[in-house]
Amino acid sequence: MRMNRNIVSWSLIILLFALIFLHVNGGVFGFNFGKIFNSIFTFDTNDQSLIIYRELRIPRTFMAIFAGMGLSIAGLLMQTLFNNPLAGPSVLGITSGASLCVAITMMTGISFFTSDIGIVLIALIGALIFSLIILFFSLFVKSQISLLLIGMMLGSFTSALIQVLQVSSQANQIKAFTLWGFGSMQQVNFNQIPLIFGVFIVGVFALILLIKPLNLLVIGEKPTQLLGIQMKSFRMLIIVVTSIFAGLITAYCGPISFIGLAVPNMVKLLYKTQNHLQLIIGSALVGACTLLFCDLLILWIEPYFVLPLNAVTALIGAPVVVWIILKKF
Amino acid sequence: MIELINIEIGYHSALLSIENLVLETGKFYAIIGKNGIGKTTFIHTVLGLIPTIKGEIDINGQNIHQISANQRAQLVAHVPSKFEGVQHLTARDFIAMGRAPYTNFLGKLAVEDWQIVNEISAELGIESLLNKDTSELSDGERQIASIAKALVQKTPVIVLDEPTAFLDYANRMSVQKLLQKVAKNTNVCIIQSSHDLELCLEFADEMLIVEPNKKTIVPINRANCSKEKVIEIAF
Repeated sequence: MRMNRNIVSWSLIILLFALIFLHVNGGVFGFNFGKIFNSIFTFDTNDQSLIIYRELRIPRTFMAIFAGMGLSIAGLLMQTLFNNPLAGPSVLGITSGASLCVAITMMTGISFFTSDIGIVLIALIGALIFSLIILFFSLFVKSQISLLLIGMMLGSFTSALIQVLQVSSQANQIKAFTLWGFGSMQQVNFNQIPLIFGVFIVGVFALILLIKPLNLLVIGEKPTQLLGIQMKSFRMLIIVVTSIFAGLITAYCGPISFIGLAVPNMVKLLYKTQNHLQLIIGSALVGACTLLFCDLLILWIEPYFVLPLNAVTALIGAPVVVWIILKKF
Repeated sequence: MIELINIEIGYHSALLSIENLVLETGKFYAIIGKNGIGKTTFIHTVLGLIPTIKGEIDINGQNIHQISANQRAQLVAHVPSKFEGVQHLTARDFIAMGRAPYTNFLGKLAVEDWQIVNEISAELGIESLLNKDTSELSDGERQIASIAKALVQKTPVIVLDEPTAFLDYANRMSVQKLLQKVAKNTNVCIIQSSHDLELCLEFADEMLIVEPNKKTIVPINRANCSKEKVIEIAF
């Protein structure tokens, strides 16, 4: 079994690199190590091809990798915490929280919040508040389905609030927000990469603390507590880590659906384990591959028509979700 | 050894009050009483999940409500009435969870921890189940695996909440026999709640009967106990 999992991991790593090379070359396969290296480290503003890599391709590839990883890990955490294979940051309304806060800042135009750090902060806060709301409800509703419905209601409620905001906004603000809402890997520029990477690493370090309790949590909250885990602080830490990943990615890419829900389920099928160290690594790899692939589809179809990312993730994700429902409910 | 010193237990108002009760290691106790009388509340209090209203519960001299969750997990283990099984979780990994209170923050098990898992599994004769998925075990096998997990936890006290409630007759017998043997051989204090009066009278060393009028626990040794007497006090 362990052998098989290693083979799966290495295959995924190879696939990931193949997809990265395809993606960073704009959908065509090729090895342009020189150009990639030069555009990052010895950037010359006069070389046009370097500008394409530095300003367009590298940030887009980077974002697809990290968004895929972050959303999938956030989904895995939610699924284990709520013991629910259909949980995920978008289903439970956590990305809606981030969206609402981003909408408020985009449409009111407070300048601090339109800076890079401002927008990340506000999205994190939004995700955190909505996660806490879901956590609060989870203490009262016992059924898995009820919690999902509450999450969906949170989502509808926020989109209604956002529509109210839009009524009193200017046309260009509405346009910017609507485009952001489609989900995209193209809104990041090269200089934002360190910030995104930094916040992501903070999330990864916090994740390390979660592995032991997550492994116990699969048998339930009470047994976990009786094996010596402080449930209250552990639950809070899961919520904070999920908010870091979901908030960070929503701030830059818009509310991306289905990745956080579908990927952890595919990983469990591939890895056949409940060891969360492996599930986290698997979710990161499969998440990055899936989002790179979705964005590649967009790149390939781009000459004919422009597909929004959320349409692609839904086209792939919705059948997966139906399959999970048929299998687990 | 577990000492209950002048305690009142319950969520808001006192459900049960117990003046002084000492439960010894190496013995198998059975709590018997009506539905809703407070057996589960008693168990949850002993596990440290809910505080006492008054008094204290000491295990090996330590007040279980004043120590950390991790320290408590080294003193008392729990077996629920049913473990449903989890897909992709093997019986080995499930039983090994009992070592969690002894591992560091990464939860990595040392060679000695795995040795304990193997020893206990051999003792209970469930080595052949170790590689199986817990969702594919029978109810009886899962219950034995749960007991193995509690034993792996190496605590002086193990508390079981109606461990035979969902089992067929043969499995009930074997679980009771097992608990009796474990209490004697490993010098653990085993406390179970149960509605299986006959089995308790056959295998447990002492009955802890919840008396509904005085709302207290009356301990009676098996030697001086009959089915009629238990029914008279408890129901």
